[in-house]
Amino acid sequence: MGLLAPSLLLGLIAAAIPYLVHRIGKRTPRPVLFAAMQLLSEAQRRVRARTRIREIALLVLRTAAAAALPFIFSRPFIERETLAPQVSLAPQSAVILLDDSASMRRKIGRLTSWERAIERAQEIVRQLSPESAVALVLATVETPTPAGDLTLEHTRIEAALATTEVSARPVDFSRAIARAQALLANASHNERRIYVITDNQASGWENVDPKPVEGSPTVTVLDVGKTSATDNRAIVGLETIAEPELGPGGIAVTAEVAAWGDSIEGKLPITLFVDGRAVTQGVVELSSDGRGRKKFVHVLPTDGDGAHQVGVEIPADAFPLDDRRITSFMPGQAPRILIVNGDPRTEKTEDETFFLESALQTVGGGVSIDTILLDDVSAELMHNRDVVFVANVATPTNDFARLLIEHVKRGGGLFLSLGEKVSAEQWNLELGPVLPQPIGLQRTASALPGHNASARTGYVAEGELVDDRPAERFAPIDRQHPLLGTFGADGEGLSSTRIYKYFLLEPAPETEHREVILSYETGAPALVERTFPPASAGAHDPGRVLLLSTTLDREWTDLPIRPGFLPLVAESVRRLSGAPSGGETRSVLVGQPRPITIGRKHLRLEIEKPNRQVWIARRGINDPDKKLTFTETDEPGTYRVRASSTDNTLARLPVEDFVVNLDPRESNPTRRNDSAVAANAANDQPAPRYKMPLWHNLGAALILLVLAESVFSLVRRKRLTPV
Amino acid sequence: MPMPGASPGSANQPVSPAELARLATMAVRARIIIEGAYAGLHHNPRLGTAIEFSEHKEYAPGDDIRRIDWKAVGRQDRYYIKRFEDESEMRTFLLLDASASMGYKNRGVSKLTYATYLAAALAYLLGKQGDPAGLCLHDTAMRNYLPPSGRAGQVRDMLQLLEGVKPSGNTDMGRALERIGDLAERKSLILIFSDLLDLEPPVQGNANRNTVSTGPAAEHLAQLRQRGHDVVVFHLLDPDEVELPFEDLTEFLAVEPGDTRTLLCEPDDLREAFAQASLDFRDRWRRACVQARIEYRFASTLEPPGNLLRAFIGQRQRRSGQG
Repeated sequence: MGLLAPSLLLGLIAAAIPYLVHRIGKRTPRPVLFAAMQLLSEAQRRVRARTRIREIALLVLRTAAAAALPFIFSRPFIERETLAPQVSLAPQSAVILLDDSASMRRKIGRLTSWERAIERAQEIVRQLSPESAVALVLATVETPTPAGDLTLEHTRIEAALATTEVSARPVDFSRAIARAQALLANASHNERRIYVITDNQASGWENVDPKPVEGSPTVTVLDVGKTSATDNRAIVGLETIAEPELGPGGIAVTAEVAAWGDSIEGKLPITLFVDGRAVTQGVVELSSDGRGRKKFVHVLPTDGDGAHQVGVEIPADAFPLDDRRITSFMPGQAPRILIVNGDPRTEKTEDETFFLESALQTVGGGVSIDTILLDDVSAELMHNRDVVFVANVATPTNDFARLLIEHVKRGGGLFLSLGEKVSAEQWNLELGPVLPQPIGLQRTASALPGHNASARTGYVAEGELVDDRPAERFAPIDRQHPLLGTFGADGEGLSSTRIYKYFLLEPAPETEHREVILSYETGAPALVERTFPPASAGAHDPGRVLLLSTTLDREWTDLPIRPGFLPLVAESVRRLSGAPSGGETRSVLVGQPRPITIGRKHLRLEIEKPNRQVWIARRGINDPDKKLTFTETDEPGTYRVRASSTDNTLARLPVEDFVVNLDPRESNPTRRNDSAVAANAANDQPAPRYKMPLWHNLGAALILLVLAESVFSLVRRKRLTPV
Repeated sequence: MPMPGASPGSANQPVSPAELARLATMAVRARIIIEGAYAGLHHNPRLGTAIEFSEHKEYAPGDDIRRIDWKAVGRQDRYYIKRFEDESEMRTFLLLDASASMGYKNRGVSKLTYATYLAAALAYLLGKQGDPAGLCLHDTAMRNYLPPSGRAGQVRDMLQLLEGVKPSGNTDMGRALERIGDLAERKSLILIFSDLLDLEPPVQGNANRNTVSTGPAAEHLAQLRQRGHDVVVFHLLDPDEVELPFEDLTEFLAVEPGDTRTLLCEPDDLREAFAQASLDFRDRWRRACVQARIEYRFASTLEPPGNLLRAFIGQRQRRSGQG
């Protein structure tokens, strides 16, 4: 602490005045001859201690007040470092780029990195000269910019800083800096700076070139995570799968735990909780690389109709956001599948259903599969099946057809694939009521003009014998369809499929219950769906039939060996069995989009976020299924879905609930490498120091002292004055 | 100045001590006080109570005709009234504390002056009813003593003595009471007028308020009562000794000779505690008297003496069944 006018401290002598007044300047007492000295003595004995304390307190108050005055006149101050860098003093156009990623929630001492970043940003704004223009940009992906225009109104930026909140999204500094650079492109000042306020965690900086580019704005990185420890423990992965051996509701939960920093090895307690209640506890052993896995098995109650929130938790550390991870699991979803093999072979790989069965094994969730021949079909075997595959059956018998029709009308799923053995006439006759389209003639692909039949195009597996037959391919796919939502935009995994032969399908009346999902290049339908709504609303899920106009083995197509075959089969099973589309999409990472469909049964859909905010989407009465993308996956937690039907009753849709987890990259506390930090060191010059005056505070203290003295004296008089 | 024999108040209302002080003689004051005291009471000046038949006395005007012994009238053809033992010769001792502390006054009259008014009025009353009364003025020792007598000039002598009394010396009530005890051979009425200050040992801070401190004076009082005397204590305090009225820094000095106690203080600081201490002090004496079956009457010197005497006489009359 320093003093601007230390000589005025001489006035501190005045502090002795109250004492001197007390000791020397006593008033002359009035002598009174008094008879009741006995009563006076007793009264004085009663109040002596209280009076003495009050006298001392008053003396202290008065001394302090007398001493404060010269102390204030000597103008005391303390020297402080500002949080803003030296370079912020010059007139400039500046963009404050705030790292609002999840890692900024890490606590360093009393404050989180985010709170320090806000303080730092406020200090910069305060320190910028009035002619400096400034804007505020957030660094996380897809986050709106709070103050996206350069402005001279610094109060606007301060207001935006006061209301901006840290997100849980991951950060991408290359895109954020590019945004800031774009803002500064037309700046009026020659001095253009981007102040990146970050905890300097390495993730998010991967694509940023540390070397400054000539002519571009100078990037000044202000590190608010310098003092933070680089150790962290996090749950970086969690998988919940059905464990049929445990019976209905049995699950296996595998958590992956990672640790960084000083205590990467050792044991860590870990708790499994279901629907918010801890059910068991275990210990995860971390290996030398700081990784460890823990598998729990548990049996979920099967009486509920909704998904269960299954999660794990480790003891909280300075960054608690990643110490908990959840998944949403719907028990009893393991579909029961019956495959009717119409072309069995002794050679396993040539069997009609070999590839199908292999693909179905990957569906997971405890799927049960039974493969039979047409002759073995019985009502008992068909009973309680979710999905029936009929593969290249030559001539379905009348009984078999009847069982299939009943199955579909009960809400079951039916997948029909064709082949060499299929009698189109017999199929149309027996299965007409459920066929999406009548089956027509066989068509063999021929080389189209410009196509080289033998050209090796597309994906060819190593060691694969290339079939040189002329082939057709699928037309570009429509990813909006739930069945194709898991494929890439260019239909990766399906687009290279070669189809040598297929059945043409006869035209059928256009109805809303029939939809072509996949087509060949020629426009001929490849995969057609027909939906059978229940007889009464809500009786059961609609029955669905998918008709593939080619084979499920390699006889007419190489689809079974294409990467798209597995997801196509898995999604078909989910769709036909009524399970929600794409089990893995029940859990997404923060910031990832979540596809949402407002089905025909519903007019309005509500998604309640973990912070209780509700997102609402509507569908027109006459509109078909409305497909949307929910992008507000800002916070980790459970997102609950409600829907209102045509009669305006709002009901929970537990099967559509999903969970959002933290991006594991945010858990890695590894800081940017030293060279990158050093490249910026030149910009991060020592912060300027400034004198913070204390006399205002002392003045306020003096006023309080005088007030206290006055109140003290007043109360004393009021209490003692006789009425 | 009102004429002697005329009440300065209206319609025989009790007269304040300050007004009494303006009157010429103690005899006038005594008469006015008594008239004020009897305003509203049945006009029977007797203080005595019927205890035991003693003798017949020839009827004289002013005697209560209800006491005429009609059997004696039948036998003697003369009017006689019955006299009872305590009223046949009710000796009364008026004991005044004339120590220096009794001379304190700030407003109105001093405690001693107030005590002389009361004593004079009672002496006048007793003389009127022909009862022998005596007067004792004391400080550390008995300063003046007029033995009880029913002679004609007794009241005049007592009033003269009261008129000339000056406060001086220390208080030693114990010795005075001891002396009175020796002098009063028969059952007597002993009326004590004092401020009772410094007559009991100081009470400790945590003293139980239900425990009555018994100093020498209180013990002597109790002994008097045990001997069969009817003892009445008139506890007189100046208003300043009830509520401390002073402002500004004050040095309090003890009034009694040889008492070197002084106290320098802001009266504001002590006012509340002083009022409580004074209340406790009076309460202790009241309880000590009640415990010894002694009548206790407290009065501030601002209160008209007639009021105090009216209450006192009224209660006496009610007790004797005459009121």
